[in-house]
Amino acid sequence: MSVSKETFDHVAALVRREAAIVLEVGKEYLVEARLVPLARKAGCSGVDEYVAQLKRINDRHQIQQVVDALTTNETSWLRDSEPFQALVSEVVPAVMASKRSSRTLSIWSAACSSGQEPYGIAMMLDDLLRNTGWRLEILATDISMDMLERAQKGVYSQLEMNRGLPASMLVKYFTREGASWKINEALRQSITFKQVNLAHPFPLMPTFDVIFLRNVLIYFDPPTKRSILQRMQQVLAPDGFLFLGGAETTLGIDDTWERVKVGRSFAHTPRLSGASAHSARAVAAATAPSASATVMGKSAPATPPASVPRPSTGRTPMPHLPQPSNNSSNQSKDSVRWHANAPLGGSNA
Amino acid sequence: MSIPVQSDVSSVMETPNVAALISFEDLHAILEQVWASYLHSGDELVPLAAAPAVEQISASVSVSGAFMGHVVFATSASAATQIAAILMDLPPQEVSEDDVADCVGEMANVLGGNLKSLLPGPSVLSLPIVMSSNGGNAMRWPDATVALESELTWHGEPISVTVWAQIDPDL
Amino acid sequence: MPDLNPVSGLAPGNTAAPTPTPGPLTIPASSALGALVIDDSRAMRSILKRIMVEVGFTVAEAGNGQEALDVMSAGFIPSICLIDWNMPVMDGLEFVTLVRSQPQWRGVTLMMVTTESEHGQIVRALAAGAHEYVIKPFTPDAILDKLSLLGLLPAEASV
Repeated sequence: MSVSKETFDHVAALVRREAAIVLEVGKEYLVEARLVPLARKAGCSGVDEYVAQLKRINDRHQIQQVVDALTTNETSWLRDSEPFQALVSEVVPAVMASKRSSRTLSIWSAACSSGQEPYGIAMMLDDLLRNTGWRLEILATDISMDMLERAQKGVYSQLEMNRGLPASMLVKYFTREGASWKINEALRQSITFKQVNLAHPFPLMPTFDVIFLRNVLIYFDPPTKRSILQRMQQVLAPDGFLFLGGAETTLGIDDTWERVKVGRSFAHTPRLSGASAHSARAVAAATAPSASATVMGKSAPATPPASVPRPSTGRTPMPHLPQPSNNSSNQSKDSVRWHANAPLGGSNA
Repeated sequence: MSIPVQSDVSSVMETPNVAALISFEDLHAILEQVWASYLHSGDELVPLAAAPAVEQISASVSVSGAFMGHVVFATSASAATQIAAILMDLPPQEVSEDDVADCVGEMANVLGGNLKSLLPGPSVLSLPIVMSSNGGNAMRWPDATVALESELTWHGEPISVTVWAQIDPDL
Repeated sequence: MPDLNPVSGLAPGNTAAPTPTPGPLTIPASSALGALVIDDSRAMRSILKRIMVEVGFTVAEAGNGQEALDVMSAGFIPSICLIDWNMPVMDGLEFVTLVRSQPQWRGVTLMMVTTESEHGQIVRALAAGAHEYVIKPFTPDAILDKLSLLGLLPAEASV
């Protein structure tokens, strides 16, 4: 059932060339899972035959379809959950400690697509901010009006609901609407949706504590990437955090950023001359158990974006997502607390 | 989009207004999701009736509770074999009758569960029953009428989903 | 009257699919995670098994909750059970409740994979002790997403 080495190597080279994304050995299943629908559509018996045909014909449209199939992740809710974990465990507590006067947490989801990212952020922070007197302001932007309208409706198909949304969040924040599911109204109201083309000058914006710009830069050429990153710094608080996609970096594009480890994830922070406004937070992150701060400075070897080592999660459970609450080992207290907050009666079965 | 609807629903007996609870858009959304997820061909399902099959395979699941009725999934023997070959990852010539029954039964189960969630609850879903027939309407339920029916075409073969509602003898 | 010709009823005791009986079982090597796929449909077990094997799990199958208990009692303690709801002999909810009542199986992650899709049914399953819930129909990515959330995906699966 698995794809041949030849097929995998060809697809890996293709995706690296076209999207600067590295498909490591061991991701054969992913190539299989994502390309089977394309193979069937093309009338091929399997992925090997399809890729062999692709090699022969070298059709731009089909190549783009393959790249899209392997790089498009926008429909998943919290699958790449490390940035969301880091937001809850380190970033938001640090912001709350440093700006007690305003009591407003401001987050920008800069390419919100159909809304899974801003809603995911709102769901992750709901319990954390409840009864603290803090207000959450999320700005969700996208270049596509169609996507924004979809996102603003907050209505998702069963297939979309199945994609990386923890079941405990589904029951807590969604209700059925016909064959679809609709997000809780209070959560929807906490998000402002607005059309923004990142390549153009930004409209008037507040100063953000956190910006999510994940898997977006890959769509722009180097000068535009640099311009976006520079303008991001103008709307990010000096001690704010920028989250890029797991395989993305500012290295070689805009050297005014520092890469810091937060939780099991990495964020980028404005590099300041002299004493860093960030040192306190970076140190806080560095002292987290078993995680030393990894700062990729100028001395780091210049590596192509996709080959920057990513934090490996291995099999370690994520601390803030609903884990088996009674696993015998490696169970963090946080996940137990998360479960305790879940809206489950426990006796109505 | 023209969707043929069976029109011989008895007007004498009162049955729940299933069509008001399940729109054709809902039904087709569910079918498309099943086709896209399991058969990799959601966009190849055409909402137009195909010529009836000579040999038809039907699977039925019952819904009992606040709503009483049956969900019937029917298709041609040929399409059922194609479906089984894809689901079980086997060449079509290696698909057995048991495989076909298993797969058509599972299609009825998945469709039935999703449709049940749109009907008045609580109710429970039965295990599927699978029948094959040579022509004609393969499955009939006594004291029940067709409340919703959609006929579609996939690769030239007929696909249909029917919701039967039990006639309430007290009405 | 058309010629009605029952091919197969999937009712209890009828054309029971060939599932692994609780005979000699291979305990997975310590490096491989075990998965137990519990569904009365062979097609569904086949789909789920292919997905789990692709990401490195050692997979055992069971046709209902009782068979799954037998497999586990015989020594196959999986990291995760993928559990259908509506099955003959013992349904998925009963299986979840029973597994949760046994301390020696505390480390087993329980994920429902079922066509039951009412909000209230998901609440019931989670209250009974299920950790995750996938609604049928599902794509392979949906299963991989959940494994990732549960920290059970051997290799990071995102690109």
